[in-house]
Amino acid sequence: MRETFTTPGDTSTSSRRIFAFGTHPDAIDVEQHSTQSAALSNNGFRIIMDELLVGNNLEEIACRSNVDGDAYSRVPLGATPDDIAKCATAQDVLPSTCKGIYATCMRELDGGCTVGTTMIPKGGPVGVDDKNQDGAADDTHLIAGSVGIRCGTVNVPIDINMSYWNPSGNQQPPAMGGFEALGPAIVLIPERGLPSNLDCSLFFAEDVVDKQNVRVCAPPNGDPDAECTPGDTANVKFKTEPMTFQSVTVTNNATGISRTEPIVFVSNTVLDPMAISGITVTAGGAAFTNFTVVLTMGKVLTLTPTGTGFPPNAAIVVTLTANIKDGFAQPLPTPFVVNFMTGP
Amino acid sequence: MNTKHLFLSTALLGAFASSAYSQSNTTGAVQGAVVDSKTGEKLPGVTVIATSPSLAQAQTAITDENGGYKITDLPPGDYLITFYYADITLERGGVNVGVNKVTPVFQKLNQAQAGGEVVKITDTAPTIDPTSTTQGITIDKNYIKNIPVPGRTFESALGAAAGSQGDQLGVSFSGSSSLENQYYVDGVNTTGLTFGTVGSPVINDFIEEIEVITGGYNAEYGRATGGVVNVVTKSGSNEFKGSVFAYFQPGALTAAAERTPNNASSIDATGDLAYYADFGFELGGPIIKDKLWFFVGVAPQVSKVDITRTTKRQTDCRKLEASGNLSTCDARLQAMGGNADSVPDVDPKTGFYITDTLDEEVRSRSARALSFLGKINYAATPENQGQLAIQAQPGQSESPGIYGPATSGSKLSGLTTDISTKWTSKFNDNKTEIEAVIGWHREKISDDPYDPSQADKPLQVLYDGSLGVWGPGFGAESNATNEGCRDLPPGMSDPYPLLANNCPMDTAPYVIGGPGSISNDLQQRRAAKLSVTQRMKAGGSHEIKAGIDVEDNTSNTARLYSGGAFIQNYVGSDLIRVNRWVQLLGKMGSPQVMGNTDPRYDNRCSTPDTSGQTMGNIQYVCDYITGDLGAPGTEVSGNTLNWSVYLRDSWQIQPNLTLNAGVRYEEQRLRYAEFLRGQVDPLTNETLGKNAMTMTGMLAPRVGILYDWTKEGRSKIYAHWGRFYESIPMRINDRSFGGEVNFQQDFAPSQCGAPDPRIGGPIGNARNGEGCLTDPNAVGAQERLIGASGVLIAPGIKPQYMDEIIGGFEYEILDDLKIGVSFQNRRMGRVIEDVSTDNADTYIIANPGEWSSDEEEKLMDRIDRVDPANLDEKARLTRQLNLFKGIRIFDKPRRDYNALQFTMTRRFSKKLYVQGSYTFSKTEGNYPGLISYDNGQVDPNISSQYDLIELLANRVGPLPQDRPHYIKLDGYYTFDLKKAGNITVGTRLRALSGVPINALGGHYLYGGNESFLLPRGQIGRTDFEHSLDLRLIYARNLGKNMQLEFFVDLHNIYNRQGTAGVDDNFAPQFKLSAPNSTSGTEQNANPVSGGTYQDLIWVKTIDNRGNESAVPIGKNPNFRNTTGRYSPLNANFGMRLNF
Repeated sequence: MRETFTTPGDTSTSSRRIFAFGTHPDAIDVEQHSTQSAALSNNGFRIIMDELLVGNNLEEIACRSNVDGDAYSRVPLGATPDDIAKCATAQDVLPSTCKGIYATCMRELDGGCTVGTTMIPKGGPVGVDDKNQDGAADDTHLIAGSVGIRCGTVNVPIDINMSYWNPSGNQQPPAMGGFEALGPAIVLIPERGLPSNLDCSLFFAEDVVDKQNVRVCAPPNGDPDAECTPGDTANVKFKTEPMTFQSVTVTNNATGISRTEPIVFVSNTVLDPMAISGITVTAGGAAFTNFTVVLTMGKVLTLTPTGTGFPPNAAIVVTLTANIKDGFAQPLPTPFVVNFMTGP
Repeated sequence: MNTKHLFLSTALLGAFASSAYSQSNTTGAVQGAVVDSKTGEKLPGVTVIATSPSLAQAQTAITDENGGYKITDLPPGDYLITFYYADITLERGGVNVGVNKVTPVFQKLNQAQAGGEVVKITDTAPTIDPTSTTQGITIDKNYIKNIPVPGRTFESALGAAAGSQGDQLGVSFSGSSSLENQYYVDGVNTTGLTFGTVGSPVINDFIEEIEVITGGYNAEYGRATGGVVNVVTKSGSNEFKGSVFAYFQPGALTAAAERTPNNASSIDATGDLAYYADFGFELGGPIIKDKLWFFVGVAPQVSKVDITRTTKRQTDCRKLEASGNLSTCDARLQAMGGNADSVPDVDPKTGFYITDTLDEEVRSRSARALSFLGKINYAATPENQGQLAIQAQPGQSESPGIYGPATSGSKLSGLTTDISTKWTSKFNDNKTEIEAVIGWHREKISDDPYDPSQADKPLQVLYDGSLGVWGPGFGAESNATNEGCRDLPPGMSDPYPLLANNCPMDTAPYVIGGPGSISNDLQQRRAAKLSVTQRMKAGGSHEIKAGIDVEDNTSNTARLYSGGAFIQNYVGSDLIRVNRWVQLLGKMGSPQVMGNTDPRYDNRCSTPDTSGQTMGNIQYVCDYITGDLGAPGTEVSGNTLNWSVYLRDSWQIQPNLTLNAGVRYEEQRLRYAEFLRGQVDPLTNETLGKNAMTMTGMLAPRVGILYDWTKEGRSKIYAHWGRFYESIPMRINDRSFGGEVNFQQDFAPSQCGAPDPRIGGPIGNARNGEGCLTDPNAVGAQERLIGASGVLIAPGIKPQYMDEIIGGFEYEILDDLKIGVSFQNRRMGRVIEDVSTDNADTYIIANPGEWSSDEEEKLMDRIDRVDPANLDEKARLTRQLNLFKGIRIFDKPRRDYNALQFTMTRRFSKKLYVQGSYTFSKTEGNYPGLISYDNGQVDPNISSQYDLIELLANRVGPLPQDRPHYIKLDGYYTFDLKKAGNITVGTRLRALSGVPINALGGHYLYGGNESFLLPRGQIGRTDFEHSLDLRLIYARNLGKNMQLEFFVDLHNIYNRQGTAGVDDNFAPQFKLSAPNSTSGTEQNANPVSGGTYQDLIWVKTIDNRGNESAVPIGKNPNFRNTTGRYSPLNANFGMRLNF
């Protein structure tokens, strides 16, 4: 995963790849220290396993039509690529080839459905989506809820289309592809970042097991030789960085600032548009209310003075308060204050 | 090292490659003791004389104080041994002597026997050699004559040895690859110089005997970790003898080869023999009786194989009926009551597409060759004899292109010549023997384009497109094919208008352009050998042999692509990959470049900088190697010097107890190409000297012990241990020590000129890869030098070796019938392979998994001693240190062979001969040997097997040569029809386990079939296979010394065309595109360590830059389908007039 960090003497923040849990012999020092503060966005998690998991409980394959709630179907345990190929064949022979306990993409909903010009009854095969007719599924996605990130009490939404299970890769020192080629691995991509300022951990559904039917667990310090209780992943924990505003168009304590130019605040996370409140402005110590605040692109707060703008040559104080919350209802932990002097 | 497009050409070259190295192992011996039949008293002073038609002059020995004797240097054949003692004469006939074998002839003599009487003994000599621990088989001319061996040259008979099997390039023995063998013909080593293949395929009619040693060989033999094959050709004698022969295999008497349809191609190709014929004569006799003899043989051969190209079209006219069967074809739209649904019809039972055959065309491969053998033997005295032999094999072949225009094929011509002289002298009552051999071998091979107009065209392979476009585009397909593949709207002549691509060409390439890699190679070996044998008494009898040999091998090979490049055009993925050989001058701005005045260095070669020193690419000034042969950079000269010494003692402690002990020392010096010597390598900055790699310290001890509990040579129980070193073939000289650098450029089609309608593509905008070559300095979207930092030799690299343990017994349970049981263990001790510890930037020839700490300290000391001001040198050496340390993380190569063999031989007597074996074996590990069977690469010691760390996963398992069960049974019986002649019936039965099946994927740098997606052999094994061959011979005497024979062979009489190989490629490197789109993308995949077949559903793709994605890999529609079958039932016949 990635973390946000600052270098002593430098107020700007940067992000870098880190081993948030465990280490790797080839990781350089900065990559394998304890997490400082996990970045809230643009963060993908590569969870490197020390043995193979049963992929059928982690991913579904794409079918030619809805089979249950969507057009993705679980693959029966024990099914092989040959079974997939039998269900990826032409629609007219599908009833003959796609059958038995390893058949996949079977219509589960009442009422049947139509694939092309063929009516598929409930229980019939709709076929694996295989546009290039190579006998393999064109697409797979992560089963919702199979693996997740929990921060506080928040279950972080996962982008199941971008997240995946990959049984391939190796755990030798990285060659081609570096650490991103290590595997087997689960790659988790949060759909809209992480909630701010919370302790987080990973969780796995009960049926996410290895080939011996043992649940995933996390040994202390990520030591693969250490024991852990199946299902116990408490050792994987990290704290997300608190909400803050990475940039403001007005430098604190600046002078001669335009009275009418908007002030733009950029957050380090996506904000809840329904929780943009409690923003106060004072001009020369008096409350100033002639302004509007607009949230754009999820992270960009634009405060625009209305009318004639801020008073001239006034000391302006803009305060963003804990009323502002991120998309997971986590508040700004401490008020964010900007002071400046307007020009004439 | 990875350059897979070389494979096809190397395989062709291998067919003509050969070499020479002299070593005399062309004779055998008889040995025994003479005792009094009543008292058991040992009888010294008995004169023992060996005579035979095979022998120019009688050979004599006198029994020693223990009654023992030994007569050596006997050419293979049947002998009469005569014992003279006082006035007693005993004759013992039918003593068979084999190559490199000692036949025990123990004789009891009745001193009370009446003088002057000649006693003829009919008892046969035992067949067990009680002095040797070698494993293997002796194949005499009668075996070759009477058993239906599946070929006309000596390799066809080698499969008789227990534990042997055919591989792609020859016959492998005892779990090794065939390139680890050594082949000797008349004492001259004919092992191929470049790869280690069979060099001189001697025709069977010239052969007297073949000795196949599959293990336990003595110190005289070296440079082999496989088997040793000794072929002894016929020689002249005091009688004029010879034969005229003809052999014919007509295609009309060959069953049709079963098709192996490819589900990923619209062209299937099936080869059927049209004819094979050879005829000739061999004649031997005296020039001066008892002094000078000659032998000459000439045999022209011609052959033709018809390749039937079947073009096919997918169909869309069937549906599944309620009965579970497919309907008949009704191509009307479904709305009109038909079955067309826009999806190709698939046979639900086989998974194959149901296709219409559009057309069949036959293209023929033809070959012509001549075998010539001439030999002069000279006997100055019985103790001083010499031999001069000349063997020549000119040959030519023509191979049209099959998967594309015929014009993309090639014509090959070659000439192999062996000349050897041998002299043998005996002194000191034959107790001392000296033998000297000088040999010269020359092999020449060259190729030309099949169509001269294509000589300057690059070879281009097209993937993932349509035969309906390429066929008419390049004019190589018939009208029936072109019309049948046309994709037209409904209502026109396309019967399946809803199919977007009637004739897809998916992962099987369509080949256009010139011949590709050009050959014009000359290899030579000059060899000399001297050995001294001394027999002496000391605590028993000793036979001590010491020898030395030297060979100087040279190689001049071409390095040139026709048209200057080899092009892979992935039409469905909008990518054109251009591969060139280049010669680098140096990095931009380097002193070599700044001072350069050579105008040919006018190109630039760019490659990613993986050192981390820069963020972008490194630019080299280079020359694209192109033009005609002889132009600068198009030829590489290599040189290897080998020498060895050995000493061994065969110590007969008791007449029935023998200890063999020996030691052999070898060195091999592999040298840089001449043009590189003294140069500074622009990649490594190393100053290149003369020797690139010096293999020393090859000390190979051998020890064996035997005990004959019958004391008559009718039994032996034995054990043997030995170490055997590999001799590195010269392919490494061409590639690693010849400055080879490959430049790979990936172009988007838009970079390569205007769309070429002949190539079309799914949406019609594909380009011809030749357009990428128009601008000599065009920059690809991605560029890469393979081996961009050159080749290093790991300091302290050690030779490749194998250890072997053998134990077993043989026993003659009945007269003429012996059985044997043995156990053989072979284990690779160390391997030489190239590895890359910096992501294919630098290749290091090393011992994977090991690099000594001493060498590390030496290099660190050297770094410490570098002038502190010389930062570049310090950085260079420090980088090398880190690279070398990385060698240790590679898996150590392992190949373990364990075999239990049961053998049975009933030598020919009473008209019957039988020999058979059952071998139960396991060949496991991660290193198959000098052939990379899995991807077809033939680059001994520099294959891609150990190049990258991520390619090592899943390689441990049953190796390709693993055949747990192998049954062999050969025999013949002669029916005597009296005056009407005789009929001999010979049979050959083979039954063997199938081969392990793998699931392979592509690697983004190395291409297809490089990644073991699952553990080796995880997918199972092909079926158990078996076949039976039959030979019928009718022979009739036409006079006292003349016999006419006719024979007929029936091979594979029940026509079981079993699976010889399957398509292991699970995930082709490029995913197929959907119809009417260019959606195909590169889809490499890393191994699933320890995975099972189920896991492959979830494997994700890696793009052409090594980045993983969420997209699952596709599948090869042809995965696990049969790609090769055993030959069909065929009949051939011939005649022989013996005189």
